[in-house]
Parts: sequence; C-alpha cells; structure tokens
Amino acid sequence: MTTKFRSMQQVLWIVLVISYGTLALPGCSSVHVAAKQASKADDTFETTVWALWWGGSDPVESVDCSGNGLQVVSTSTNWLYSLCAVVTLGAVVPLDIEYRCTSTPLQGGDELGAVPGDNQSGDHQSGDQQ
Amino acid sequence: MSANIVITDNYRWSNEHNNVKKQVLRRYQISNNTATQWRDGLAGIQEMIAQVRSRSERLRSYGGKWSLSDVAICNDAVHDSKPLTYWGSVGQSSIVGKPLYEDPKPLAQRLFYFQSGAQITQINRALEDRGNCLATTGASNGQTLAGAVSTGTHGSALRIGAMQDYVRALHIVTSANEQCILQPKSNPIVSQKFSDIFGAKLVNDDELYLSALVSFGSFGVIHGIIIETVSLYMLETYSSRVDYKQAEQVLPLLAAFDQNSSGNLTPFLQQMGLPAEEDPYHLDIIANPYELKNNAFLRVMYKRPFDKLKLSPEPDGSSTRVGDDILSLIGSVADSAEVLVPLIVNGLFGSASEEQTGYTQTPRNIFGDSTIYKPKNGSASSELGVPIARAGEAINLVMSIAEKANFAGLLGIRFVKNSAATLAFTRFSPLTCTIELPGLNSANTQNFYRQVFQGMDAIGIPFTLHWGQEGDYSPARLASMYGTAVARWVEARKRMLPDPMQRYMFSNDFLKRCGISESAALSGGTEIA
Repeated sequence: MTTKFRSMQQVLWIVLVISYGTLALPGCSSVHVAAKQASKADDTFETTVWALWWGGSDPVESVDCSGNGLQVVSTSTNWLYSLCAVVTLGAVVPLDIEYRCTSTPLQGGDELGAVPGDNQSGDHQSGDQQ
Repeated sequence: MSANIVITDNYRWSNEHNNVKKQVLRRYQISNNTATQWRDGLAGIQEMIAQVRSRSERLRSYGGKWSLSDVAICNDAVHDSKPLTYWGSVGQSSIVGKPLYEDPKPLAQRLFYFQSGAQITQINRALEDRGNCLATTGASNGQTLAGAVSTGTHGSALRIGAMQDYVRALHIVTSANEQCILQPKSNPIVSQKFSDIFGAKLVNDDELYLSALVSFGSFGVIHGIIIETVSLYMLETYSSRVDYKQAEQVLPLLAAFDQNSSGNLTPFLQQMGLPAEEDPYHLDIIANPYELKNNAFLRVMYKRPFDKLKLSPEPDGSSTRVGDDILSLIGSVADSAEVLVPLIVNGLFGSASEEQTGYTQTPRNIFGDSTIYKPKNGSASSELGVPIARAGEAINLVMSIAEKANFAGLLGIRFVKNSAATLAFTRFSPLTCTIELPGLNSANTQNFYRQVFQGMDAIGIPFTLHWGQEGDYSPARLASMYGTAVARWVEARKRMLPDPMQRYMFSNDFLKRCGISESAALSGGTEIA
C-alpha cells in the first residue's frame, strides 16, 4: 500500500513539474498566415478575442489597411487560455491575434521627367500583387 | 503640417527582430500623391526637416527595420520611409555614364530611380515584370532599398559585391531647401537634366559619394536611389550537407580568386560533384556548431539566362527555402527556452539543409520571404568581415569559441567582392569572407560575441563588423577596422553637412558611440556684456 502511495506521489510530482515547466516556458504555440512576397507596413496590431458559447458568439475583427491588403495574420494561444477553454468546457475560448497590413504599393514606373501620356518605355503599371 | 504627413507622437519603435526597442518622440509618415507623383513626398521630407530643425531635435529615417543594431533609430524624430514608393526609369537623354555590367540590354532599360521606401520584395516583382532584376540582394526581401544600401547589406555573389555596389547615384535631402543628386565624379551616370527634374543640385564628387553610400542615414534623408539592374536571370541551385572539413577546401581557391577568370573554383567543384564548367555566381556555407559530422550546408548557385520553360515550381511559402536566411531560422526558435535551443537548431539545420540538385528559379523566389515573425524575446546577430586569406583561421576560431561558449546559433559564411564605399564592411580585397552569427538574444550570446572579437584580436586577424548587426562599435574598434577611412568619412560628412546643427540633426546614439558624431560645439564662453 505504502509503495503504491509513493509511486502515486511520484506521478503527481512529475505532473506538477511538467505543468510548472509548461507555465514557465515563455513561448506558446502560434500560427501565421502570410501573404507571399508582400511588403510590410510599419505597425503590427495586437488584440485578444473571445469566442463564446460554442460558436454562438464568434468574434469578427475589422481591419483598416487603407486599401492595402493584409501582410500577415498570426494567432497564438497559451497555457492559461487552454485552461480557460477546458474549465469552461469550451464555452470561453480566448485567442491572441496579431496582424499587419501591406505597405503602399510601388507607384509610377514610367520614365522620370517624361511628359504625362508620353509613355516611352511601354506599359509600366506595377504594384504589389495583393 | 501638410495633409500627406501623418505624425504619431510617443511612438514605440522596435525592429523586426525585436532586440532594439525605443520610445521616440515622434514618427513621421509621408506619402506621395498619385497626381503629383513623387513631388508631395519630397516636399513632405523638406517640411519634416524644417520642423525637426526648428525644435533642435535629431531625425533618422528608417526602412524595413531589419537592422539588429540601433544604427537606424534615434530618440527624437523618426521617419518611416516605407510609404514613399515612387519609381521610374532614367531616360536615355539623362544618361551620361557607362554601364557597370556587361548585359544584352542597353543601360537605359536597366537604370531605375527608386524612392527610399521601396522594399526589396516590391522591387523584385516590379523589375521581374520588366525582365530585369537586382544583381544581388541579401538573403531575404524585407529591407527597403535605401536601408539595405545604407548599412552595406550583401549576399554572396562572388563578382558583384554588396548592394551599394550597384548604386549609381543618391538623391539626398539635407535641409528644408537643399537637396542634391550625388554621384561619383570619376563615373557619373546622369546629367544636370535629371537633377533638374527634382530641382536638386547635381554634385559629382568621388569622396562624398563613396562616404555617403554606407552612411546609415547620417548624411541627410535619402529621397531616392538610382541603381543599375541587370537582365532577368535564373539561379540554378545545388545544396548538400557535407563535413565542414570538405567545404573549407574552397577557401584557398577563393583566396586566389581572379575576377577575370571563370574557372577559379573548378577543382573544388569537381571534387564535390558539382557542375564545374564555370564558377558559381553565388556560394555560401552554413555551419552547425552542434554537430561534428555532416555539419556544413554548402549552397552553390549558377547564373543562367532566363528561360521560362526551365523554371522549377515556385516555392510554396510554407516550407524552408533554399535561400532562406539563417537569422529567420534562429528567429523562429527565439521564444523557446534556451536549454532547448541546441536540440531545435539541430532540427532546423536538418530541415534547412534539404538537398537540392538543379532547382532553378529567379532571384526573387530564391531569396524571398523571411519566416521571421517578431520573436518576443528577440534574436541577435553579429557579422564579421575578414580578408579571404584569413577566412579559414577565423572560421575555425569562431567554431571553437562557439563550442566552448555553448553558443545557441549557427554560422553563415559568405563571400563578397570588395566594395569601394568608404565604410563598407566588405572592404577586404579581392573577396571579403563574412561570418554571420545569428543566435538567441541572451547574455550568453553577447558574451560569445565578445569572446570572438577578443579571439580575433589575440591572433591578429583584421576584421570589420556589419553595420546593421550587433558588435563592438567603439572608436577604438572603428579605428582598427577602418583606419584612416574613418577620418575621411567624417570629413566628407562635414562637407556634405557644413552646418553643425545639420550634423547634430542627422546623428544618433549609434554614431555617438562610434565616435563619429559631431554635435554643435559651444561657442562663446566669455562674459556676456
């Protein structure tokens, strides 16, 4: 009986150590969706969203990129967020979101100093493929 | 302020690698107006300079925030150049110079002016659409052209040099009513007609030009850059994991590299089972200090004329690319616990060193997106430039120190043609071997860098440090790295910015630490009557 109790204690210790270690780790899982070869604007925006009631109230984030596209969207979670989801049986699921817009597309492309309309170098419209 | 200038007060600035953070007084973002092309952008820069000067503050333009040092930031006013993205060709009638590169296309079809905020990824795509490309870039595409040039960014193109080496002229704004097109007197590229487009003064001066090329934004605000591009080409890539002992056999051949010969590396290429008809365009080595065997990743790329039918499928973007920069690899694990890093780095090294045999793509796709996403703990990197003749000794020294110091990172070894820019860190002829040391941002890593610098000094290997990375930028170190070039650069800056207030305005803490900053000297000192 005593031996069984000791091995249970050992298991408990291992669980505690692993839990503490997980908490102590600074980084947590994250997912990134990035536009391919897109230029970056200066700012990254961060927010925490809360999905509630098993899909009954899913958050919708509105993003203003001044007409440009999104360069990257990242989501991340952490140990506490996971615990929150477990404790509430999935009713409350927090998630961190980061996003960044693409920068101003390239402008111009014609010969510098040329009279507008006098296109000496062909059709040179360019810009990021959003 | 004009409507095209957006000011953010008390802006929290951080670089992409998250190891440099500053609270600055004000961030300026200046946009063009489509109808007026570049004109509103240029006028906005002049207005910004006037305001900053009236407040006796310092001003620093920055681009992609790709530097790992504080070279591109100051505490007062900062200017995000990225919204300034106008570009255009330089018309034949404005060109007075000769091409740098032999190319089937005439120079007029390869010479372009880019405003300072154009990012490499944008430039790559725009040029490719026109059948052109940059002669070389860094391993990734996140920088702006002006930022990359101003810090001496390089790849490993054996015959090209660093990015500043294909710049033909700089358009710099130095005050509210002074701007110039600066080009070398010995090899000018544009006529007065071109500078008249901007209402700028045309300055032909070798010393000023070579000093301003790598000047980190301290010669004024760069509004635009004229670069010579080349016809679109493909890179046929071969990469394999080998023992470093095998890879290092290329070093003596590189030490005797003759730019006029196309068969410098033939014996090495034959030995490695690689195409040996001509020297590769690009060659680099990544070394993993955590393994003893198979501890190097040799990448060789041959330049091929563009042929759409011979292109390999584009990378899908979700996997590691053959040209991925190793800082990204480290950056992606930088939030992990330090104790786990050797394990993770070994894994990443394995995935990065996927064998490639003849994978062929344009430079845009070979040196494409970096996989870095602002690591919370930041990543760190220092990069040394050493003479190619001493590269073997230097790499062995760094490897041995890395092992002892438990350095959590990799070694990226590249080879760059020497640059004529006054403070180019790729200054050693005929080739500079660059040794990049990306790692976790930790005290252990910083200690490792110090040990490397001391070790290099102890055995007398001359070295320089990449301006956009971390290192010892003390006046004594600068003197040992660049000798009399430092004084020449300071003098050139004085000529470019004759007013001490201008020099103060375009200085920052980094320059002060280097001992090359000049603040306005106090005058007077006698009793006020």
